[in-house]
Amino acid sequence: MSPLPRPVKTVLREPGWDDSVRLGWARLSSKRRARQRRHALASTTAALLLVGAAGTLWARQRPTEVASTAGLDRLVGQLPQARGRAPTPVSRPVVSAPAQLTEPAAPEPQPEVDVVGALLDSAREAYLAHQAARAAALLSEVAEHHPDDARACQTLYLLGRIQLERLHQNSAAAQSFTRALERAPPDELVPRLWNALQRANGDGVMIDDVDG
Amino acid sequence: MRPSSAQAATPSSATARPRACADVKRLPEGVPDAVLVMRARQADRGAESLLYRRHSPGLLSTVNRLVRNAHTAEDLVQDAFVRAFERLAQLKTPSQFRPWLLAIVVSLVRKRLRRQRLLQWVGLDALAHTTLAEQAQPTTNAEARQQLVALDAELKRMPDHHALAWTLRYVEGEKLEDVAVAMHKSLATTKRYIAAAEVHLRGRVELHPESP
Repeated sequence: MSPLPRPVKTVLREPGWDDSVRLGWARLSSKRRARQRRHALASTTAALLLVGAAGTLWARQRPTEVASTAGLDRLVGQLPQARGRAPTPVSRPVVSAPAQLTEPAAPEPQPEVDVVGALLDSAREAYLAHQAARAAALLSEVAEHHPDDARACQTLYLLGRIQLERLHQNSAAAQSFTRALERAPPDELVPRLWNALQRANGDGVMIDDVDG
Repeated sequence: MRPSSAQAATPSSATARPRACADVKRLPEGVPDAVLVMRARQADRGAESLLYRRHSPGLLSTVNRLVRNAHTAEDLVQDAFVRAFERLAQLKTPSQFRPWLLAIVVSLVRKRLRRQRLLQWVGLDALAHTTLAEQAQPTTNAEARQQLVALDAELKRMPDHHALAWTLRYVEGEKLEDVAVAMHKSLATTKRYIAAAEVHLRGRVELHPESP
């Protein structure tokens, strides 16, 4: 028996590929276009999905901080200025001395001295110096000891916002907002307080929905 | 090879102005692959077209002998060229275009063979496959045809990678180095595959001894 030669293709016939080659170029070009379209579509879809997923994650993880930091900064900036100089600079965070303060030894009916304004100034400075706890303590002092001041409701609102967004004390924030609501706040402040109270209670409302 | 429709275009229209689809542009047939590859990298469709016309007939024959179906072979060769033109920048040695193209087509053939086997296994392979004996030249004698039938049967029995390496080496007559590149294997591994196939065929198919 005669063995097969190497390479074996020498005993195999070569089909004519002329037609296949001629038609193949056109088919190849259309395949390339289709492939490029598929790639472009896949890239666009992947990019959109990536952006969507990243956006969703971002929104889920940091809803309060992201949405409200700018609003809080603006609120602090809008704090009323002191109408006069305080007798002494108020710089201490008064957190645990309610007994002495609720019973003022010597009332100081000095109309020219704006204690609340001075406290608010100090609170603003503390906030801008990234001392949120100290700012909250100063605002608490205003809320505790000057409840009849016209700025008390706004102070409580700001206090609640700082407690909620910076100190992450949701229950304390809810208390502040509730107290502000109980003190007949100005009409324009009511929806904000209500909204913020819901947020503090974990109802998922974005605070800036109201603050703009 | 018969001139294709691309070559049959009027030279005046091709040389007058560059066209987006420049496959009508005439290029001398003797331009080396390396030059064509460099031009194709700059999106010269004429160079791509010439590369296609130069290499597709040989590649079609090879793939047809590997997959035993002309339509599948055409499809795979077109896909291989699409991929090759997409990845032309990755070709380190432009003169080695053919072995690199063969590597692409062999990887597609392997995928197709795997899919074909799966389809056969579930009874869904409806493609008609020719045998080596059917591809034999009309002048081939009965003994040689019998050997081809035996060779066909044995190639189907051995692992795909052994059969592929052996077919590329001893049916197609490719250089050992090119077979290694096409198989994405080292020279030693390729030699081992071919030797294993050779051992499998020994005593079952009569082949001319390998020339040194």
